[in-house]
Amino acid sequence: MAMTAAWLRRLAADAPAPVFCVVGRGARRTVRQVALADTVVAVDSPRHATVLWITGQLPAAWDAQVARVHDQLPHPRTVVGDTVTTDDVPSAAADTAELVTDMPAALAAAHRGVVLGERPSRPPLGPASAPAEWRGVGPHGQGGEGMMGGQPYGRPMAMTGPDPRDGLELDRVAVTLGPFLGWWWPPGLILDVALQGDVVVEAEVADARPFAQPLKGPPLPAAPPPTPVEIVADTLIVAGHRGLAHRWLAAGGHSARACLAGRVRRTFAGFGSGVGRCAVDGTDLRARIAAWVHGATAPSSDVPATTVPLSGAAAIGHLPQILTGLTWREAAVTIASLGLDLEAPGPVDRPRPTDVLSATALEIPA
Amino acid sequence: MSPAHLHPVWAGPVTVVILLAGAYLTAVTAALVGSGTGLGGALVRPLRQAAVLAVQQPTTTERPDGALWVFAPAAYLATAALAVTVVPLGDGVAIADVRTGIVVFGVAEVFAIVALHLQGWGPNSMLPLIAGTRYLAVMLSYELLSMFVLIAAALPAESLAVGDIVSAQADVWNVVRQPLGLPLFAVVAWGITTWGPLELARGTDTAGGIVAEAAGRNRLVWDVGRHALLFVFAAMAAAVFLGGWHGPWLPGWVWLALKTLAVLWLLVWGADRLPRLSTERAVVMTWTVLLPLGFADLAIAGLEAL
Repeated sequence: MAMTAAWLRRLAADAPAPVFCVVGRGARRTVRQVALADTVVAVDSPRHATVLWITGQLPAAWDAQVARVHDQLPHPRTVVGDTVTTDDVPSAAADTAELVTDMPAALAAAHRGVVLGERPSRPPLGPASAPAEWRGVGPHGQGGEGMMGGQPYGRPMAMTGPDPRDGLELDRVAVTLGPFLGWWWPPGLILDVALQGDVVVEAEVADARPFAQPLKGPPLPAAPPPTPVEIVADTLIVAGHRGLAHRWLAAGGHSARACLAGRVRRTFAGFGSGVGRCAVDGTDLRARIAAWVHGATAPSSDVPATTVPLSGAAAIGHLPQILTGLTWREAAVTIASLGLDLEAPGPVDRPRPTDVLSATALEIPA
Repeated sequence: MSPAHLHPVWAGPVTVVILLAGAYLTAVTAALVGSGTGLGGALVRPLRQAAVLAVQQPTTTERPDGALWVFAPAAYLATAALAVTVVPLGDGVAIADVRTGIVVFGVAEVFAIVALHLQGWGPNSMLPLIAGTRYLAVMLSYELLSMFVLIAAALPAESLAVGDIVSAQADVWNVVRQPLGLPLFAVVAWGITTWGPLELARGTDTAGGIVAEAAGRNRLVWDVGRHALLFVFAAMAAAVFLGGWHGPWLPGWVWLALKTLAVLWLLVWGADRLPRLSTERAVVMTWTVLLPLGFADLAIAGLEAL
């Protein structure tokens, strides 16, 4: 039995490292490149990973979320971090920072080491108890009405509400998505949505400017906005075409990408005309994709400065209008297609989250 | 029961071997098609990734449905085992070539749909729940397709036994008689295994969907079941539409294996190439395009039988 276990561990150590990425500000470009490596597989869920890669600049206020993601990795698990905090308060995540020059090799080595038992599996960071106590309110103890609604154990429970499509009263549940939903998700985006089935009936951006300029020290360096090539790749990833996204990213130059352009556009034929349409400029998901593909494949002199008028930072304010009424699959692909850019630092005098939540900062043991 | 079935002593081991070998071949094909690795890499990659899951410790969530957590992956794998029993293994041989083989296969499909939904329900987690629910909304439509194409394939043989359906294709394969059958059956295969255009239950947008919370042996069992099921669908398609063991020169079981591998490649390659569908688009396409095509398939088979 022991020999079998040792043999399995050796076999597992040679597998591509399953890595879940916690992506902070300014790191997304590196993450995309690392995900192309043969030695790494960027997985969708922390439950599927052995290595948690914490990268980019992260507000210290997000330590609790980082810890929650960390504790979801099954044992054996380890962390590779090259993050720095954006705040004056030392970030717990930043304590794990290492100077790494070859990240794919470092991630593969971390996977190998922890699977073979050469480095210890990391203990949990958060408490083993429920995040919120049972609240003894309402006829069934959870708040709400009847057997629905309320927040038992701090979790929102479905409550009936009018269905915007046919007027029926259907279950409506509140979900908070982000800030770490996967490396296709725009860094810094936290989205509060109300879903009926998988239809978005309400959407609100919880914190559109999470990266505040530090009060002390040098200002944050500029984080490059996503390019058309990268926006198309991110959209392909969330639409379920990982292999094509990798080929698209790895293709060198405009002409190589032009060979893939037709297939990329056809990939989004599964989404109807008008899906993800913005009322301001009239572009829908497929029009945006066509524009980004054009921008990524045409010689740079032919591309207008603003390929898609309402994208990047400008699109954030319109997100609730664009997403409401879409199914979650359509909404997620639409979010990626907008090329949202939340990485510009917010104003200096903005109340920073760490002022309120610094008590939740957790220490990550070395 | 027709005489062409394995002795019960052999039935269990043969089922296990076929499921494991089928899951492995599907994973190798997926690695070749999807990740672009060479044959050498594709042959070892599934084994290494399975080993990662085998060494992982089990996880849990807050207040999951503990019974479903264990039951759903086991049930999904069991449906693959149920389906493989009626699939021919060679010239007139199956694990259990029962007279109602097509019905048994359909029952396995329905159980698989239930297992998929329960896998999303069990963890008490939002994203798996959303993925499992939207899958159920879509698959209730697609399951009708399966019955249409399989009954149409059974009409020329005037029998629901899979062995009889293959025997009836000695002169003309069903893929010629009923050209709509195989592509429609492929759609059902993608739906039941959450592959390609119908991967709504596992999408990246839901962090892996119904398996977002699954790790270790729980996910290993699930993945073996899913890959084995696609292989079983390929074998069933080879038997029901491509003449099964019929073919010149080579032994019947070799023809069956070659046809199964060819269909498996088509299923994996087609899934890689086709666009992914949103929930609403998938349901609309089923009711307005695919189900009418299913009716047409049944009508063509009926007219030919007359």
